[in-house]
Amino acid sequence: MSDPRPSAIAVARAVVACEQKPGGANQGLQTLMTKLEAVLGKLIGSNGFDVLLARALKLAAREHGVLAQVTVSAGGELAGLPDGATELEHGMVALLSHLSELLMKFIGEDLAIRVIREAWPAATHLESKEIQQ
Amino acid sequence: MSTSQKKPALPLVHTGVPGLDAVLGGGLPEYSFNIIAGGPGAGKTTLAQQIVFANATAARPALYFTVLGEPSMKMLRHVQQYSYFDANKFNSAVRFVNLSAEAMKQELGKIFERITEEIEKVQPAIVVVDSFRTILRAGNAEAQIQEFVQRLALHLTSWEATSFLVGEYEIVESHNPIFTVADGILWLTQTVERSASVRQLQVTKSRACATVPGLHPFAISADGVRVYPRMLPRVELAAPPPASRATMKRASTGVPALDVMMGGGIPEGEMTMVVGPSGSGKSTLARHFIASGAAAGETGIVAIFEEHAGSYLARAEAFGPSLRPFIDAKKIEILSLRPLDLSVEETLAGVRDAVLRTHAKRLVIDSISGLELALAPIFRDDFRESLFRMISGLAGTGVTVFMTVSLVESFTELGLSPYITEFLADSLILLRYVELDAKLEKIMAVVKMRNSAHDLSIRHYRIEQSGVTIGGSVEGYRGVLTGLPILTARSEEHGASRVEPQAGS
Repeated sequence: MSDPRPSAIAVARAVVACEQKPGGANQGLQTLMTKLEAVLGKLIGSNGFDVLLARALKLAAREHGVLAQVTVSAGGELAGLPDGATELEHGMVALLSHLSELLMKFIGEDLAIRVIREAWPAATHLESKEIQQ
Repeated sequence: MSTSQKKPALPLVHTGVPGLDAVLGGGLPEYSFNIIAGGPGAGKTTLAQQIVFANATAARPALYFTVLGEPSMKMLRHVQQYSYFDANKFNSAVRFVNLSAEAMKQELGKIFERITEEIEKVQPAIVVVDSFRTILRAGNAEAQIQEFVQRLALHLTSWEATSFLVGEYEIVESHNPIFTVADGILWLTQTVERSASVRQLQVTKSRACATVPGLHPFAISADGVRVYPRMLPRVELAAPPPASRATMKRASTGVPALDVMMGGGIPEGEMTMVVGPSGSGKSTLARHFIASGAAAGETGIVAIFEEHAGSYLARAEAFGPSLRPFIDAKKIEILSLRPLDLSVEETLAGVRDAVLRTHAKRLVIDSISGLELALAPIFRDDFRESLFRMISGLAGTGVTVFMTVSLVESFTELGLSPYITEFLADSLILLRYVELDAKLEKIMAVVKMRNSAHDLSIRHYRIEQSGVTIGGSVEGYRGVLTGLPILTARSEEHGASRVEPQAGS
């Protein structure tokens, strides 16, 4: 398994930036997954989304121990999220980077970015040159 | 019904699949409820997606429901490999919805609710459920299935959607109740015979449409599905033939002496078959014919089946006439069709497309024997019928056709073609080896020209670097065409006459 490509990391950063709201990284991560599940679940099925997320979580947990105890249940529900704000925020970017990378590998960058953009239609960050390249 | 009453219009949806509309009688009726059935790998999903991408627009979107079967991620990966896929339509004009969660619950009611909810939200013009079979496998009773299909068909129609259910069915299951509800059924089959794989499509049901019956070969390439209808609609590019054959225009064979034998050449738009054994010069005559047209400014197509274009051109270079200058000038195009699983329909489509695209006036098919070998074994059994369809398909294009046919020499009977297809040709030229004075000689005869006077003599000929030279008639012998002529009594007294072939004579 290779590291996420620059465009996958850029997508993850853009999405996380959109979801930085009061309530902490913990809540932000769950909101983010719920939004992604609504779009991706429709396309590849809820089970498909859960499987993809679980795989991305395993990959991200290797780099960020804060995610080691996190598990995925039906509908992209994350259990075992710790409270540590900064470390979790980094883990969140890593998790999304791996999820985007997997999606890009399977359905291609173009379609992957289109799908993610559907979840955050107002996110101008997702229009950036860095992502499109 | 009174003739003054107006029939409701039945607009047709063009499928966007090359060749399929011709089979369907123009397209699929708008709002029809169709089934695309076939075994695994038959091409059902490719066909459905191609129709969807060809028809969906932002104003008239398509809903593509995926169920259990091919994981959606893989399906999305695969669909992008085809040229019909348009990323700009993805999830806008063409919306994919996964129904696996509902299907796993095995409740037809939940599936129906989800489908109708999405339809009412999106208001699609096209709806696909792929694979429909997996929904019905969920242990539901036949009566429940029939009710579900009936409700779904009604709902889809009331929302003005043209719909397709994609399912893994075999033709023996055609008694299944869902086929009763369907307006149209497209069966896709894939058969293997002697290592050759053949795909065929059949429209077994199409309400209110005059479809073309039978099995139609189809191929799947990077452009998706292309169907080759068994009977192509006749094109009428050529002017009708003149009332009098005396005024009919003639195409030169490129061999002046042969033109004389044929009463001035080959009548334009007609088909000539040259039959002879290996090495008798059939291909050389064909090259003279096509080069002669190109030299006069006429575009020509050479369809070959036994070798690559490179080796064919190299042979033309070595034995003449060279075709290279005409290829460079785009006056001649070589179509090299070599796969061993071709259908006649596919061959005809390739040839006919080339003729229409280049506005060709001349066509060489070299050879019919090579074409037979290039066909999948399943099509060889009815080769004669296939040839008839091919010749019919070329009629009307106005192209003058020159076909070569290999014949195994027989010294006991006069064979004109191993396919008994000589009746299809307007003109027939026979080439033969004969033994004369303990030497092997080549003889030529124009055996047939439909409604046209021609030379009835049997003539010597030679194939040389400088061209084809035709000599005088073989006289003083009988039984020349058997290959083992016998001197007539008179000739024995006076000596048989033999006129040496003269170049261009």
